[in-house]
Amino acid sequence: MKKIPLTVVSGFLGAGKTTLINQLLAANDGERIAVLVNDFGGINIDQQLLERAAGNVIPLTNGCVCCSIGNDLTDALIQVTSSAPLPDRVIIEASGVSDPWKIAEIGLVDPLLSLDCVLTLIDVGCFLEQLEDSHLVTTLERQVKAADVLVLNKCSLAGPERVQAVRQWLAAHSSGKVIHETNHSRVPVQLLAGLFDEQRFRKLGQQSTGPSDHLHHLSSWSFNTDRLFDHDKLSELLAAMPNGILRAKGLVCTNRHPHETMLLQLAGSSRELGRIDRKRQAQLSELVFIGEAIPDLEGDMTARLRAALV
Amino acid sequence: MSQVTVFHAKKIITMNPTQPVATHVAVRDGRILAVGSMADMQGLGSSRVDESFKDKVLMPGLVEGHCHTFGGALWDLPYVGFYDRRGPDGALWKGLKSLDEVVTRLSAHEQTMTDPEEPLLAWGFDPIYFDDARMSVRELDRVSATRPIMVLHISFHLMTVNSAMLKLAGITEDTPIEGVVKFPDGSLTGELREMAAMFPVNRVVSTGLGVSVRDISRKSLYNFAHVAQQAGVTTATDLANRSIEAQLPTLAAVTAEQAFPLRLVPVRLSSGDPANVANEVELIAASKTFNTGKLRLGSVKLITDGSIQGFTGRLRWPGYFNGSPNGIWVTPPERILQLVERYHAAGVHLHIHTNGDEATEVTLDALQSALEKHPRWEHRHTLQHAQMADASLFRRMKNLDVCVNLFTNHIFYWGDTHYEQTMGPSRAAHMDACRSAQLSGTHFAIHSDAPVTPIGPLFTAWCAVNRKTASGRTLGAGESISVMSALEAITLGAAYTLNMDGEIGSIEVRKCADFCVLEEDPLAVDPDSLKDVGIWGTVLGGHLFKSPAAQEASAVNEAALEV
Repeated sequence: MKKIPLTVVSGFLGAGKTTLINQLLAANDGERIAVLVNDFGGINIDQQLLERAAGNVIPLTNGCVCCSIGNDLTDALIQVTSSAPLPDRVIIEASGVSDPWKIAEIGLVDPLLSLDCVLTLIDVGCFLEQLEDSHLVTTLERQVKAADVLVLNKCSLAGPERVQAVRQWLAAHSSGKVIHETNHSRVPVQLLAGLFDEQRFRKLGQQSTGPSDHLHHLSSWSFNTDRLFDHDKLSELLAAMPNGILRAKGLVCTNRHPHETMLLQLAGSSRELGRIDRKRQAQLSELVFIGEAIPDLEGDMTARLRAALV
Repeated sequence: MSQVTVFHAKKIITMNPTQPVATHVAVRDGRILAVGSMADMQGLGSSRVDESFKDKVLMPGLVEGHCHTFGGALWDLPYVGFYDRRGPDGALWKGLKSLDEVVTRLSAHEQTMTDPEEPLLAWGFDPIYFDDARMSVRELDRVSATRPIMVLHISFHLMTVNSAMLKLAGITEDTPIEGVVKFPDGSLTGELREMAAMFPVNRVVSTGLGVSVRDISRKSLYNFAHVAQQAGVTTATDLANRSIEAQLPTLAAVTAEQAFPLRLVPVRLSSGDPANVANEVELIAASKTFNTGKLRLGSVKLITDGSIQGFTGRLRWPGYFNGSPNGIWVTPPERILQLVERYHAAGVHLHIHTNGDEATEVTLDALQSALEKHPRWEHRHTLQHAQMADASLFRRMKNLDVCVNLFTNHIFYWGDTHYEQTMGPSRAAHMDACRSAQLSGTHFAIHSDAPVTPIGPLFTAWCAVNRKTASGRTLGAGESISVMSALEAITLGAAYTLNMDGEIGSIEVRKCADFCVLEEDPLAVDPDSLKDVGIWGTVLGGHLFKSPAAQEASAVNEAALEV
């Protein structure tokens, strides 16, 4: 059964999560997205899109649904994943102070869902001051650590020196993230949706979205083999990936289960190598990678993969 | 002219220091018309004397100032905890002292289930009482190899399931998250920790049963109320709730029923976002139109830190005794300042959860700042738990007119953990410092936080008086308070923190005719026996609620088997 991609949107209070969510609900690109928000307050849905709200759920005419989390994320998420029809995508707004990874893990454990992306918004104007606050630093660090994509928001207001200072901090404290600079939480939909969709995945590596919002340059490539992987060597490789590999996904065959297919996923700090219900006809492994535009990253990765074959 | 009922009791403890005892109380239209001796009951018009309690002791109906209604739905499930608990129908669920006993109870229940697909859910398990033996699939698979089983831990942060449930939920050995616990050989133990790991099970279970344990339904509210009523409670809180709007119709309808034996005080959980306060203040005003004698809305709860025994409370120097790093800010200090100021300026009444002393101090700073900007009388803002507050913090509370509700049940249930791991012997002697609170002149109450610990204000009072841990250790006799003071804390003291001390909490003319009916005089028994004083039932607004006859829960199950 096809899994529903899960995106977690995180960021401290005031970083711009609600603005981002408003945009997503209005420009859903044909997908039926269920968005779980902490509160409806601030959610600004175009009147044309609004249907009749029923309790904690606001259905929209474009097929999206906005659900308030209320007392319990578990209940709200169950509500949304037991509706008919099921959504095409689920987006959860992590609260301003929670660890988004704790929510993202749902996408790694529930068979109905698949973790697609953790996106953390940063208010560039006050991020560095917030880090000075001993009460906040742990929270902010967790939010950055959990992210695959960091959105530096309110850049024009903060000015280029600020942006640079934040980038320096990020380079020193957490590498391996996709970084996007913007204002008003404007984020290309491909950044948070479709990192696990192989076509969108490749497009991401090639796209530039315009002069004011420049995208960190990425590259994508694929790796294929008809030889078996050594399961233990592949697991070790997954645990020690070279710097610059941001995402990986694909199907592999290993010597532990030679007649079955395994799914390999790498996103942020999560690695997954799991069996799926599919018997392969041929013993083929196909992987797609997205990485930073570092010289010879593809060559390095390919060499390591070859070394992990039987 | 309405009928007047004069209750005659062996003794009436009024909690009014200027008239501490009586033998008769007259009630008209649910309110107290007169208090005193038989001679004081003259000239009240047409009246009849009710001798139901002539051998009993009356005191004001007990007030539980900090508990949760969500436990109500759990009572439909078998309880597998370490301590005895009494269910809504009066059945006594005996505590289970070994994993084998847990398996036995679950197996007995399993045999009563007719639908082979239906999952078996149980609750209340606490692993800390079983030393190093963690419950796992090995035990639960003995109960059934085919029926999915889920045992919810009493902390509500973990569950243990069997192999059939793992299969149903689709959780495999390949699952890479921390919360899915594995044996050294990599196979699953069945223990699932925290929300993400528990989610797949919650999802399949609720789709199957169509209900979550957090549902507020007529049945779950009555379950909650019956358990509370048997403990002598006439007013209880739900502290706190993010879905008040969705629940209002149910709350209003159910509390209005004469058979519903409680006054309920649902407290709204703040969204935690200062930008949202104005909107919430409007919602609060709208919700207050639902207020009745038995339903009281309007207050807001903030949560500042986590829990001390979970190492998520925020502590001042010297921090956690065992060296654990400081805990987490559920609401960071700058936000606490903003939220407190905005709610306070809007006239809202606040309950603020602060467990560690750093959290308590930061909260007092926020309250002081708000009061300096917006002086307000009778705000009754209450700090909840405040387990590590010391004399200087209590003095600040007094000076700011801030109340405190201390978690004295913790002394019994986690006192040894605090002594050994979180606070150490010296600070544990002053945890939940009732005597220090009293000496400072701060208004204080004491609570259970049910269902985290069972609802039972007499037990909570026993904890405040005796300060004994589960292992029998006494934690700081100097912080002990008298039985009388403890009884005040579970009546008038708690009522004061809810802003209801003009209506409940003592037996005085004009107040609600809410009584707790006891088999013995709690002031006459040995203080160590305070928790064992029998409770006949309650009176709410003049209506009698007799507790169901006590019976063993296993007897109930056996009866079901015979059917």
